[in-house]
Amino acid sequence: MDPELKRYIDQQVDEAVARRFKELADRAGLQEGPRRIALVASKGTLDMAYPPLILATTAGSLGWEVGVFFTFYGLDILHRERMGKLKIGPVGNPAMPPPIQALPWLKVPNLVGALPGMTAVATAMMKQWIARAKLPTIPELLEVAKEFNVLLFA
Amino acid sequence: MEGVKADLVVNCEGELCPGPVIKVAKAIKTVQIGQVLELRATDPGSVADIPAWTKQTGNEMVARREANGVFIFYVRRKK
Repeated sequence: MDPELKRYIDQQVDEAVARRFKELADRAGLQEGPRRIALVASKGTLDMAYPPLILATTAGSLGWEVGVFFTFYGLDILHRERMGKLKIGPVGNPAMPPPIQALPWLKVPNLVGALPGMTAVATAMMKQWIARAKLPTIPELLEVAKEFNVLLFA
Repeated sequence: MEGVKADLVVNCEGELCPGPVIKVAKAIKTVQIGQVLELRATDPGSVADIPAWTKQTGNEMVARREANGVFIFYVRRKK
């Protein structure tokens, strides 16, 4: 193909594509206002309460418009009494870290994890880890979310 | 770099994600436009997070350095 012609075609295509993209963006209302994000919190365990709130507060700190939709067990995250008492169970979670750091091969078998009181033990361990890592607690994260005007839907 | 003077120092040493980003976002609102914030963090994630935050929020990264495992960022409020 004649290089001159090829350049002409490339230029025409680029312009047409850019024009089309702008049209579509305009129609979708993408060019105005802050970026937005919608999150779903549907789990009420201690570990699963963190991801939506961490994403929400980080997006909020970037100036994004954030909405979190709480549903099913995720509603416990907003419950005044339950939000501070979320738990994690050791059963059915193969990723659960070993209880004694010096003995990394000593995993808790599901059967042992099912004994009475083991949920409390796992929860206490995770809370210790959270405190050591200086991670915010769930009620603290919710406070931060409110400060960034995160919309909470329940 | 040594000449940068901070109007406010925010210490996030020992804190993990999302601590530093949240703290800088909150603290930036307490200084005047044009003033400089010094953020001290030990979270290695902050090396990527803080520059990304300044870029997205339109604030200015004046300088950054590392001393004894502490990452220090100087951020100027632009708006």
